[in-house]
Amino acid sequence: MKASRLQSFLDSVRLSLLNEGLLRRSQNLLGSTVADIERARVKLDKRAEHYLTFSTQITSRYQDSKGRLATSQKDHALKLELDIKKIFADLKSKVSEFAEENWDREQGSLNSAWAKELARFGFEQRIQNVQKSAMDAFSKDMGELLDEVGRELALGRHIAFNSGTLNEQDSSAWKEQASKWGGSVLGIAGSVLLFALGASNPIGWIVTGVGVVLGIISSLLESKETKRRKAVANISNGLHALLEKQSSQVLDAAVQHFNAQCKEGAKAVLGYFRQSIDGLNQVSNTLAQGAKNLDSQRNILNTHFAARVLDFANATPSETSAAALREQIQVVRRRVGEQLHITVAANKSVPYDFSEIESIIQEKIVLKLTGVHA
Amino acid sequence: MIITAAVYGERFESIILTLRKLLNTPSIKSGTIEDKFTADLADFRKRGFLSIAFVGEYSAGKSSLISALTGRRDLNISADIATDHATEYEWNGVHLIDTPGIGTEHQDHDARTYESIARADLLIYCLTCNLFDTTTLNNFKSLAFDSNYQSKMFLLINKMSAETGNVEQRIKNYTTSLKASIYPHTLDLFPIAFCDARDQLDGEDEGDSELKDLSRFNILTELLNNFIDAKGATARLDTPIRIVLAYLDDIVERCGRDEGRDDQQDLVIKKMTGIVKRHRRSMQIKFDQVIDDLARAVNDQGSALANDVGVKPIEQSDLDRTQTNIEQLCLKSSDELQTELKVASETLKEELAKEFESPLMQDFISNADLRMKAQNPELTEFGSALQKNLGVLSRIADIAGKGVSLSLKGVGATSSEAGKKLVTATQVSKSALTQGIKSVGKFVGFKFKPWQAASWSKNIANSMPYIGIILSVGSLFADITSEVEAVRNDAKLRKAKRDLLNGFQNVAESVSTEFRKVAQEAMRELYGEVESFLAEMKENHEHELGASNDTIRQVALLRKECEQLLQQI
Repeated sequence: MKASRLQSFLDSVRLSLLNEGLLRRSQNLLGSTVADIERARVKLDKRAEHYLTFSTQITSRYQDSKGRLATSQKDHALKLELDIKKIFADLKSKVSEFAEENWDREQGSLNSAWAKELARFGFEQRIQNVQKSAMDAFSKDMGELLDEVGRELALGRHIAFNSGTLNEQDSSAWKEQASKWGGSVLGIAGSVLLFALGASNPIGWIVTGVGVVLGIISSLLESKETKRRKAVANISNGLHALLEKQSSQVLDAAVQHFNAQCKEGAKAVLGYFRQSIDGLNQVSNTLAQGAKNLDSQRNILNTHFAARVLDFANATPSETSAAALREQIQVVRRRVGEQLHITVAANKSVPYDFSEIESIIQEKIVLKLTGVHA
Repeated sequence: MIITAAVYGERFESIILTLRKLLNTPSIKSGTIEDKFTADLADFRKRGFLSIAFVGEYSAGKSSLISALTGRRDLNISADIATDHATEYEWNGVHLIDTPGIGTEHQDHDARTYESIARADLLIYCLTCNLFDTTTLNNFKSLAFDSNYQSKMFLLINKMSAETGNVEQRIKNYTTSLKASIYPHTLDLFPIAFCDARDQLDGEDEGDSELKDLSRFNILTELLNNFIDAKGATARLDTPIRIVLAYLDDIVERCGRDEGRDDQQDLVIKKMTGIVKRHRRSMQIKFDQVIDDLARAVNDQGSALANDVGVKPIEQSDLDRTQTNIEQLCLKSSDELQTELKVASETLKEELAKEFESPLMQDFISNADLRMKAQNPELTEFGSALQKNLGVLSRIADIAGKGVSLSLKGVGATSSEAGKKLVTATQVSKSALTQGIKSVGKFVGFKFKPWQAASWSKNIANSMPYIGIILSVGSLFADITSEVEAVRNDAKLRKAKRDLLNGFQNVAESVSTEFRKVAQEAMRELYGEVESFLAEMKENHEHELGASNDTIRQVALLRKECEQLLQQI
């Protein structure tokens, strides 16, 4: 009795191996592997998304920074303008005395006297000083901006690590990005500064001779006193007009030069933004590609498994019939241990009985047929 | 009594000293930070925030005055003529310039001394109770009227104890003599003090308060304080104090703690501080532009008139027109400042609002909610500091027009309520945005009319004696009969012209000074509120972190001192 019972159990195992063996092997090999792949894929996806989000944030900082650098440039250009105007105003205040002192000079001698006055005033040095200050101030702003972004980036990395979004593998990628910001600060600011200091008179202005046509009308009828007054007025008016003209020339040249320098600097800074964005996108893309590869592997496994399931439900399972079924399967969506959703492009509707197979694989099977031709 | 500016200067020096120590703590110290700080302060070190030059008679006791003012005996003081050149002492950011005395040996200053005098904010012209002699009077007039330093000159009669007699009566007599000496100019142009520096020094040394009273030094310092105040000179400490504040931020950043949420809060505050700092700078430059343009335009009015001197007659109507022009120019500048201010209040609000939408801020706020949920904020130091700061943040959000949804008002709110409100804080409420920065309301009726306070009309009046000469130029043309007369006439005209230009320059200067003071006040109104909120956030944050970090605790103390000083200057 006992023996016959055992025999009956062994028979049922043999029968089960015969009937369901193929499917069970499929379930073990295909089903469990899919679960492992899926876990890795989700993680990769999450990391890819994180990098992408960060890249988007840097992109938005890129836009902000463009505006911030433009404002900084505008501010310092305006300050430069004020400083230059102030120098010219100071110079103008010397005109009256100069005219009084030099009213009876010849044209050439008057020019050299004015050149001396300019040298005494330290005109060229003053202009250069204010130019340098403007460049320094802009460079400092660039440095601060880069520093801030660099810090935000590094902080983002740390917080992501702490929250477990990123793992050790991400460390080097991040470090590379973060160090770019820090290291670039001095480089960029320094190079822009060099432009300003490199040339002694980078804007090419020349303020020298009086260039005033004196045009003193020598008339015997006029007393020396009258001549003197007229000459003084003539020199004063002439110099004032000249300084007015030169002021706008120097101003235009200086501001233009400054703006060109700022543009170069900003270009370099924004270039780093682009590099960073590209770098982050690349990391994100690589991770996303990995996830995609895993996804296609998962699809292959799922398709094979679904084909086995359908084949098994067909009552005459065989390798060839399973292969034919694989061709017809369009989409398989599977939640391991819960549900198997199969979409098949079948030529005709075939009645499947999934009750037995559902009890074997412990997953609910949903079949959707598309492209059914009458 | 010591001059207030020097007290501020001393406090600032002590702040610098502590900051330097902090920068040298092992956790902060890096090769460049202290050098960078020194470089950033170089401008302040070079010029100080106030410079006072002591000029005048050879034996007027200038060096004793400096000693008595500074309370320092270690200055290079010699009973004899000290040096041939100007000597400069740095005294808590106040630069004191001792110039060689004028007398029979030295009739005039050398070029370097003139340079120092030109640079000084304040010229104290020192005499003894012998008052002016020919040399000093010429020197005084040349400085006051030819070089046009009158608006920064202060007349000081030292060594009052050298003569006996009723002090009040003597002062009265001296004043009468001084008036006569500088006629046709008026003595009202110059603040004037009578004292005895030696008595003050002896009184200090011997602890004799009666002697100190006799020295009348208190009256001198009070006058000096008023004078410095009127010039708005102490406001120049603003820039170096803000440099120090930036370094304090740097130190907290360098203390590098959790590389996580604490640092994130730090960065949130830093970014907002940066927004306000940059905005303030833009505003300052725009204000400077308006005020500089005004000053130039006023000077141009003077130049236009001066150029005509000696060439064609100047009528009273020309002067009247000029006066009207100046008033128009002031009005125009006032309108421009008003417009700039309105625009600035809007853009500041927008920029702050934008920061509230940044990913960093959103992440910080939503995470702060989680952290507060995780612990009872009432019980832990950390929780309450964070909660306080969220409260302050919500007040800033109010200013930025983000306040309706971010209504976490202090300790009353439970963390989940707070969280809900904070998370939605990033959604812009249009109605809230239109409410605007509250303090801006103050500017709606804010009138920039500082020229009313400026003494420009007085300055014009002061130049009347020369204007009289100018007006008579027409007749001078006809009356020249001899070469001698022509030369004399020429000298008169030249002087009249210079005085006219100086008069307009003084007008420009006093109008600018008043405009600058009001502009400063407007900036305080515009940025003060947000700045004090940010300072409060830093203080809370540093208080929390300071519990475990001595450096940060010191930073917090130093920050408080800086904020107080900023308020007072």
